Amino acid sequence: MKTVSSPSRPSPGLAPIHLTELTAGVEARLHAVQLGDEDFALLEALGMTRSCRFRVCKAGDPWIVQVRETRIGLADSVARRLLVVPQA
Amino acid sequence: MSLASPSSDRMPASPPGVPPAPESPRVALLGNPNTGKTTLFNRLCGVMSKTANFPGTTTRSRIGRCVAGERTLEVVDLPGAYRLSLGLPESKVCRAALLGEAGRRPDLAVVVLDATNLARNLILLAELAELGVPAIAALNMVDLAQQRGLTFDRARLSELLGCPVVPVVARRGDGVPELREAILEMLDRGSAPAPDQGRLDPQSFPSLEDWTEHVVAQGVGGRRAVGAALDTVTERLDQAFTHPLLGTLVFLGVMAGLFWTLFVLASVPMDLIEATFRHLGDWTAARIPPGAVRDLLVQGVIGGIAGSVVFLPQICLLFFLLSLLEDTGYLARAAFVMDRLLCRFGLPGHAFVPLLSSHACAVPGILSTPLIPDRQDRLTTILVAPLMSCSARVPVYVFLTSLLFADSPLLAGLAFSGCYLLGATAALVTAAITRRTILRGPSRPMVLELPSYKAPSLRNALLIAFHQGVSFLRTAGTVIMAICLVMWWLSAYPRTEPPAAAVALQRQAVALEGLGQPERAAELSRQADLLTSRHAQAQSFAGRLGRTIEPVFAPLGYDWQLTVGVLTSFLAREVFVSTMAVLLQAGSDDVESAGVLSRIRTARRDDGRPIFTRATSASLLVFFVLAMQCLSTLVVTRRESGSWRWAALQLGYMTTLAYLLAFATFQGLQKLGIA
Repeated sequence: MKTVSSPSRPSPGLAPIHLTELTAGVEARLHAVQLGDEDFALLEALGMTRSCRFRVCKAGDPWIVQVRETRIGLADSVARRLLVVPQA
Repeated sequence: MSLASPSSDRMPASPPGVPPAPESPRVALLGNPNTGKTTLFNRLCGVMSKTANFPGTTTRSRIGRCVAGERTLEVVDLPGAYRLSLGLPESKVCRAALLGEAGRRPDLAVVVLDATNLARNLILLAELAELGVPAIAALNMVDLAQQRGLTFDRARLSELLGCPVVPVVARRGDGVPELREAILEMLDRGSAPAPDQGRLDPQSFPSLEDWTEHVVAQGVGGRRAVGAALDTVTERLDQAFTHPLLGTLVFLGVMAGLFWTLFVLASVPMDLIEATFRHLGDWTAARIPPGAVRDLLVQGVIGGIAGSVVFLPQICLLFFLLSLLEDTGYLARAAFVMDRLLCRFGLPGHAFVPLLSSHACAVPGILSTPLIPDRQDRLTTILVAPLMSCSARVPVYVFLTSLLFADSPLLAGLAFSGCYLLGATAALVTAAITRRTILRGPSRPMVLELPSYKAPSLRNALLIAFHQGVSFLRTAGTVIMAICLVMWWLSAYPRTEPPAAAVALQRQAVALEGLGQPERAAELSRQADLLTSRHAQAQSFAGRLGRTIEPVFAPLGYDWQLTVGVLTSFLAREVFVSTMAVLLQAGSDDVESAGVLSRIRTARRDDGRPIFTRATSASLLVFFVLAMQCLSTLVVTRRESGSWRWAALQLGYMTTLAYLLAFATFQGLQKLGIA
């Protein structure tokens, strides 16, 4: 299992939370990932890189997020392992 | 059996029907999944291609011939990969192919980019440059990108990327001639490097993502040039298709439609194929004198070929429909719907397609397992797929449930449904156990790109169906035919003289014919033939094997006749019904006929006891639900798993499971007095 943190610190007052705590329509930045190497590498390849900004399209299993033009489906077990910082 | 050419340390040889051109330049097609790479390959090569495994892997590629001007190019369709640097099998295979580690290094690569998602797609181009392989960027789906308001400065992109950029719409064939010209031009340029003034070097950026952002910002215009695009229709469809309730209902509806189409539509050509080969057999038999040669041709060769070809309609139709579904973008969403259920049993959501298809036939079901990305998940699915009750089991289920509940169609129907439930339950439980033992580990959590929804390509689907059918015939078909020949020989030899009773009946038939009683004569002749067939079956190697092995199956309630029926059904399950009809002199294998059923129900063992007691029939039913009785399935298991070890394991565990549960059923019912 690998935990990868974003090199940038979260904004003051906005502590990282699990992706599963977000609702649809919210935008956030990826802060840390608690996944195996292969799963993490696949997420990166799909565009969910450190500090990337994404939008939650659908909340609940499966979670659907959009990073730039890529829509990614995430099982709940993956979404629970992503720490994010909501953006205004 | 490898699909690769005999020199398996190299990329597979050229397609058949086209003289090999030793100096044909090799062009590799590379790209992210869902970029239209296969569609472009089909446009470039059409039917002039073949499918083969990369050496040492079960990852498949297609290799085709593309005529460009006066030259013929060899085009290799590499597996879709997000990045070359990933540890996933597809990435490793692409890297090895591009570096020349799996055969001849390609002379150039065509990187297929999704114009609607350029930033992410460009990373492959940057990684390719690091490998030193000359590249051309095929900017696919420009029509969809333009619908979204995007515009592309082709010259500027070409300058920034340091390679030619050719806009294409592979689905329609737009831009493909231009792509061929660009390929020829680059090949003619040879090793001379392209001028790279103005090229944005990825190394000069903190990350590849920064580099792609800069390229897109300078080369792509329009109101959604950079940043996420809102697509209301896609949002709503995703909400619906992945909803716990609505998504499941949609899924069930789609699968019911697919299943129904497969069952109903495929049955027409399948019946046609069976009838054609039957007529061919009759025609051949009428022209060759009786004897070993005729029997070999009619029952061995023609019967063997029919045994392979009959699968073609289901295989081709399944892949045609799957290709259409996949093209629409729906399958990725459906995989998530099923993942909720299947992950509890160690299976991924992707497994639903092979498992559901196996209800029609396990052969195409297992052939569709390459859909599953993870190898452990794929192997688990392959191992359990044959437990799903296939259409070949239906005649056996009808036969045995009719014997079990002769007076109650309702109970017979429930028993019939119970067979499907038993098979599916056994598959899920076996998968769960497998993932805790020999293929230890949880199913990979689903992380999947959800491709854009679009109209499917009929042309693509037809080509894929064609290639899958040809590939099946070329590999599994030959082995299936060989096995059919061996099984026929075991059932047909040694030759025996007709029994005395049959000879007497034939004499009586001849006499009655002379007395002007043709109907009675025909009846006696038919009875004589049945007696002869039964005697031949009993005395054949298969029959003798049945008598020898009878003690093994006695605890399940089977005598030597049932044992022969079970053994011969290892060739094909539906053979059991006709074998029993012959052995029991039922007169016909039409088990829906009351007369035939009555004769079978009252058939006796050698010691006078009834053959089909309740306990025996139930035991047989359980055995047929769970046993591996399809050599064709074993062959494709070997092909998809890459080893006979997995096929042997499949045969072993299923036979053991069937034996133990059939034993428990028979002994349990006997002890309860339900015999």
